[in-house]
Amino acid sequence: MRAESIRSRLSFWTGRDALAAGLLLAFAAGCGAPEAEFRGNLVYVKRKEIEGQTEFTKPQSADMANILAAYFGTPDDPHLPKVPGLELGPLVDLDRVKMSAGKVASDKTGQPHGLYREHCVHCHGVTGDGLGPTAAFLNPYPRDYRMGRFKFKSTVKGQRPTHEDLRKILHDGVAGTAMPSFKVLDNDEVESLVHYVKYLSLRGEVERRLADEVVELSEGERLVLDVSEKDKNPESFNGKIARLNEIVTEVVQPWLEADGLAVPIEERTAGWEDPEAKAKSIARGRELFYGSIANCVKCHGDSALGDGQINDYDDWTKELDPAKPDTLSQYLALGALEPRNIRPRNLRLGIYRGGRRPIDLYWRIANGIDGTPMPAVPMKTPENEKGLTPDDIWNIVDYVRSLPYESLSKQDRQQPQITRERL
Amino acid sequence: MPTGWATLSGVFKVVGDRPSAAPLTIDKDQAVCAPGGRPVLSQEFVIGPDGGLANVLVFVSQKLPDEEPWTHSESRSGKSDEVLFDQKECVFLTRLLALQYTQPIRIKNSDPVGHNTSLKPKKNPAYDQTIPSNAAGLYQPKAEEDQPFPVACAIHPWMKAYMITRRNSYFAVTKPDGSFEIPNLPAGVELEFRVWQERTNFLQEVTVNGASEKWAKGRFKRTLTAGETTSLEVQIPSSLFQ
Amino acid sequence: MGRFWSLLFLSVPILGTLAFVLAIAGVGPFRDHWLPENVNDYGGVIDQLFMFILYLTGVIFIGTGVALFWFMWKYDAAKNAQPPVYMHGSHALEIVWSVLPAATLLFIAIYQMNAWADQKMRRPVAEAGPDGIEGTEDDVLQAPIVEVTGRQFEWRIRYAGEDNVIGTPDDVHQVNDLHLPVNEDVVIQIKSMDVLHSFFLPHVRVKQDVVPGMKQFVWFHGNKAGVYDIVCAELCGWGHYKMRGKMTLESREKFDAWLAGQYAEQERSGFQPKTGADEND
Repeated sequence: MRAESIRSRLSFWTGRDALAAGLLLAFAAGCGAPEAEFRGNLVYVKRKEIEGQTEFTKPQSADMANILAAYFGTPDDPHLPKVPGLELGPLVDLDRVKMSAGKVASDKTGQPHGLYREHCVHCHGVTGDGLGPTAAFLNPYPRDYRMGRFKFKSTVKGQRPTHEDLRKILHDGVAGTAMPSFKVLDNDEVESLVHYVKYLSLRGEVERRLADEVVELSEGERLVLDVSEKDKNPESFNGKIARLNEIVTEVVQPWLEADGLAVPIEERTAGWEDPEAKAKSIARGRELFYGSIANCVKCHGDSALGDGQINDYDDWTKELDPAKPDTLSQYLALGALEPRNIRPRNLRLGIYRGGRRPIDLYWRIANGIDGTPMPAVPMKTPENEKGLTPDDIWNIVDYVRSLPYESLSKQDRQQPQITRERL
Repeated sequence: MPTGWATLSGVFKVVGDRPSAAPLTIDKDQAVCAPGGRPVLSQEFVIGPDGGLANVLVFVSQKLPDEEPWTHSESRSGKSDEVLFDQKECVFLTRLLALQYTQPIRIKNSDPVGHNTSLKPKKNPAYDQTIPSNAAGLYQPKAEEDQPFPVACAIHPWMKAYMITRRNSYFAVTKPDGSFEIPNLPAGVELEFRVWQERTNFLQEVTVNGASEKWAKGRFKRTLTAGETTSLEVQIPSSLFQ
Repeated sequence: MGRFWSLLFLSVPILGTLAFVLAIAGVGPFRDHWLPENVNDYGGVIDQLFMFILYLTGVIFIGTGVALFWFMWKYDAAKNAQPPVYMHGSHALEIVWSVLPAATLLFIAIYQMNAWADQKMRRPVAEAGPDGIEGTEDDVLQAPIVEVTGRQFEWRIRYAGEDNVIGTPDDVHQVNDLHLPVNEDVVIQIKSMDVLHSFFLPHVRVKQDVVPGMKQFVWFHGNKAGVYDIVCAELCGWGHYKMRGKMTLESREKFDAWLAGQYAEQERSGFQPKTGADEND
């Protein structure tokens, strides 16, 4: 009997506890996640390799990574590039960037840290590349900051957004997309995130320029020389550093200028909201919408449903050359998202991604939308008779804003009858 | 130090089976863009009856000081005469426009329908405006580009062209017969040229004057003799265009 | 060995009761764990029902837990030499423990009928209707002041505006930021743009699943101004956890002023860039 009970005790240990120990080990192995790292812009590098019919050597790729780390730091420990003569101060503030960087935590005073990782990373990715874990499930895809192009802003197409533009996107969200509104966050937190977005955008643009530089290098040449070369070959060493600083300056310059480039809009003449004046404006706007100066229907369609031009792509997708399946498959293998056509806005839905205020619509029409095929309308100048005046643009804005309320736009027909309405 | 002035000229020819241009899909304004229903072919490569390759860009890629004896007074920077860039029947009439960046570009639309011309340079400000029918827009570049940048139209997406802005006038675009000429180049010093074509990008392996040459990323070097014209007959295999 | 296990089982009612007591007191790790403050005039009955059921089930919980412990302790095999006694059952006992719970449940069911009807069926009445009597079929029900649409992963808000009709050009659009007048009956129309969500206002004891294709109404009468939460209470996707909003109850004047301000901003038709001072300061 004794022997039996001893045996039963042993099996008790080996059987069940072994299982328990095994499970515990398995769970424990998941603890201690690796440190977050910036991911290289592999798709752009591949594109440059294909264009230039060359391949980036390992030292050249390592150079790129080291230069970026030297200028911008890591996701947990960011810093800003120190370039002589370049004042990043008001554009990107390091303290604010640090508040958004790093792991999610809050310090003794209750100030939160790691805001970017808490709110943004799952869509926009640690590197701001729009390739976060949820990105593939979203339509439209989240923004890739690395091109420095942002769609909804107050500056002309091709220029950078102002600080206020980015803050508005965070504050109001982007209607009709998965980008939420962050107005319930503290003002300080929103400011910090805007600075971090700019930081990631600058870093991404510098990375692209570095890739452009590498493609132009001759065989075996490097972007930057080893520190040991500093004394042996000072001219070459310093020359290369100067070139890198020049690249950073070229990237930062348009951002510094952007805050002063918001397009001002003259207040409309009083009484524009009176029903009669509005009706006239809408009628004139309809004429212009269908006319040959603004050419809206060519893309937005004869019924403004956005079906006039459905085969085009936005700039971020054009980089993947969707029409060429051989190269496209290489980009997809590197993590790029499936290309999707960009459709002109269906103006009958009443959903305006960049904001629904009249001035927002005015900016979309007068400035064009960066990164998309939407152009700016020609303005009337002494040399160019065939252009639009600001009043013309307001007419178009009024017409566009009236579209969702036209009988054609009423959605009730498209939805099944609501058979069960509770009181 | 340069010893004088020389000219570089030559002709680009495609040898081998003649590649055929692909037809474009005209899905808008067919009455204007494909009148009579005729097929519109891509102008990605335009090869003449003798094999001459048009729209090849040859330019001096190294940075030269802007004054004599390095840059001829007629080729130096600062030109300001307007350059016309027109489009008709939904085709950009100049496939590859090369100019000095100080020159303004008049972007004209000679079609009865509206176009929107979109320029996407790397170093210059972007431009994307609707150009109404028989109207024109003006674009003033500000900087030198290292390679040609694309021009497109969102309304008629098959329309394509390229532009490049340079500091001095040491560039040429081959004519329909494939010939080009760059005069007033500094002689006696090694010059680096670069060659670009839309389909092949920077040309890499070609045959020059009978001998095969490797141009790394489209670059080749030549030292010209003062007062003389150096002629290059460049042959490009047609396999690059298949 | 047996008595050890009985003590272990005793810890269940002890710790369970302790957890609730600490949570109600809001002490230590249970700070802010209890029901938030109720600011809805109609919400008190919900809390009453909740506490009634809590006490009732609490008593039964403690009772059964202690009884289980007692029997395990008293009749532990190691300490009892006598064999177990089998009995045929007690008819009286069976009647008692069937009738008592049935009566209790019947009581709860009847007690809550009114609460349910008030919450879900009796929308506040704006006017009594032609027959002059409130509570009859021809009453004019209060129109919703705002429409809240649940969408992955935000709450899109649309005020009826001056004309009191939702779906006209004078509507004021908002996202996640709901302002409402306090000390008034407020009716909210709720719907979903894509999947199931649940519109949950904890401080006002309002929770209603929004079903795609269904238009529903919720209502309450706020009695204390303040800022409260809007939370999504139905798993709706990967962003369900962050589908939060802010509800502000304020006086009618403040609310009207806020709404007018939002409308003015929505109709903004002029822009002059800021000059001079750094806008980050």
